[in-house]
Amino acid sequence: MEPVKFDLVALNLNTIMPMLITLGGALFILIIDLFKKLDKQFYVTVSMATMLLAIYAIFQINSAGRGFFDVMLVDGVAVISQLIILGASVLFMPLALTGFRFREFKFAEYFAFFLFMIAGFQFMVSTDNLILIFLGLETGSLALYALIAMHNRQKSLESALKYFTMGAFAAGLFAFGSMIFYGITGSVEIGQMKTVIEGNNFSNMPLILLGTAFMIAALGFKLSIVPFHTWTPDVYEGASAPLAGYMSIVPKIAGFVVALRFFDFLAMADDGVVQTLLWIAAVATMTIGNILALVQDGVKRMLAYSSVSHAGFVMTAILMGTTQAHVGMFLYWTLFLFTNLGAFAMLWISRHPSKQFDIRYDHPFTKFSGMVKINPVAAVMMAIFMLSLAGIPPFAVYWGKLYLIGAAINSDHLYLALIMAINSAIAVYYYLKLVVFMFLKDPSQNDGTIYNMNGTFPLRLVLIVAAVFVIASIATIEPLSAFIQTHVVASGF
Amino acid sequence: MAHPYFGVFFLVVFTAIAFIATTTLSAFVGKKLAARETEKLKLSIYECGPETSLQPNKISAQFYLYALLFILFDVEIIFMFPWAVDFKILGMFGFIEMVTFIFLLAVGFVYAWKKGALEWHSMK
Repeated sequence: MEPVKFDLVALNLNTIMPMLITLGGALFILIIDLFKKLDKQFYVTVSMATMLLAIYAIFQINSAGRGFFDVMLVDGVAVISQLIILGASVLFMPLALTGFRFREFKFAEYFAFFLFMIAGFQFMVSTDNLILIFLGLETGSLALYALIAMHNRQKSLESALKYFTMGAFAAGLFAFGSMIFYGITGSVEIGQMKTVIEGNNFSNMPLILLGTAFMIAALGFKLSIVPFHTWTPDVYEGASAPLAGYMSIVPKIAGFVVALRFFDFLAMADDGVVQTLLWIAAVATMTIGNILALVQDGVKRMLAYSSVSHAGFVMTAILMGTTQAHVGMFLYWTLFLFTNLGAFAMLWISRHPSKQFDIRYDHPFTKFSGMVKINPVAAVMMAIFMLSLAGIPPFAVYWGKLYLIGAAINSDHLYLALIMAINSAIAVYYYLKLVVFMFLKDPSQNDGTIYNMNGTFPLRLVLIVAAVFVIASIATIEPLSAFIQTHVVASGF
Repeated sequence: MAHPYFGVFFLVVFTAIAFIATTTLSAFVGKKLAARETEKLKLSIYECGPETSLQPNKISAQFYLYALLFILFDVEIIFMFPWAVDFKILGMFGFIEMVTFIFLLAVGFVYAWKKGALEWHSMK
């Protein structure tokens, strides 16, 4: 046999550079912790610097292309989703600099796990090889389970275990689905699968459907698609607020990108069975998530169900399969990122290490009653985030909803557009419920500082960034959608 | 001999024999070498009244760390064998890959060492 040619240019190391940087940062934190005890400010700084460096490395990737023996696939979609993942991480990281001492931030491993998780999700989005997707998914998820458990409350351990068992089950389903598709097409690359399946003109449909069912279930667990959403509220409730917010953004965008790569060509099959399956899943997700959110007593559980519903909303983009829908999907998720960041950061800034308002919930609705009279700035901020989540113009998520419903109408999914509009209207009720509590009820206590107990300068800064973005979205929406459009079109979706 | 799967067949037979031989041998040697006179007193549980029941398979939970570390090096060796066999074909690229792999495992090993995973009953 000929010796393997080792060509640095053909390896295209640029494609793997962002992940190498995050992994290197994680290893650096692990090693430095062994020799010197440092405080969390240092680790937060190192993590932030690592992530910013990774973002810089992403912008250094000039041409969309493959690398590392064609395993990596860095196209426009991968670039946008990596930017969303890293951007969300940069914004969520300073939330570790709390006023109160929480146990998890004492450990350097928290920050190392955080970076490992980011690298996992980065790998997941920038490949179309099912094996690497699986590895990335598991790296990210395993680190995430540990991060949740490190919060060290009974509920956190419970939620980490629930998430772990569910995630392990989903991983099994993913492996089964990949196996079936490998059996049909003889390849683990989604691009090859597409060629083979379309070349056969979708013969083998029963097997394809079986594999699709496995894949929808496996990705559905990650994306909290009904009926695989049951872990969501419990896990969000047990996890600390920043992690809960993070979970509603980053693993889901990674899952959406995989779903986009995978279902995009399957949904276009002639008989439309896969498309119908996705239709049912998306509609059930947004409707059931909304209805369950109506009856929640804890704000965090309400936000958990609301994120289920938002996931259903974005899921529609995959079944529509038009460029406009795909642009809408990334746009929606970027806007949702800032809004959810703000909402969960508001919960985090008002968090006390012990439960003060309710036996069960850290953040019951009654905690926020009359907030505008005792802490008007915080109340107005929270109201902005709630109105944005509800999709009220001119705040951020409104533009995402507008874009997606527009895409639904343009691609002749009129019933879907109608259902999406009705669901947006239902969602207004439970978001405004919190606004009503804050603005129209009498305060239960006199001291407004309880909404700022955990606050420090970095936390306030994150909140201000989120609020400014949510309000200024009317101005940024044009360049943002143009940027996403160029990248999505460049990668052929 | 020319059958293409002869090597695999040989491997199956060889591993089976090796497995049985090592386990029986270790059990035999262990029985012969054990200081049986003092063992009974060491293992007996103080209890008044009922006879203590004998549990033959009592293994300390501490061993799980050793099992984990064993996997660390076992996987390393598993990867190193095929690399060593095809060393000339893989060339410089394979060498760099292997060094990276060993470096990553070494980081894990140093981490485990520093955290006290190799000390009996003293995890930090």
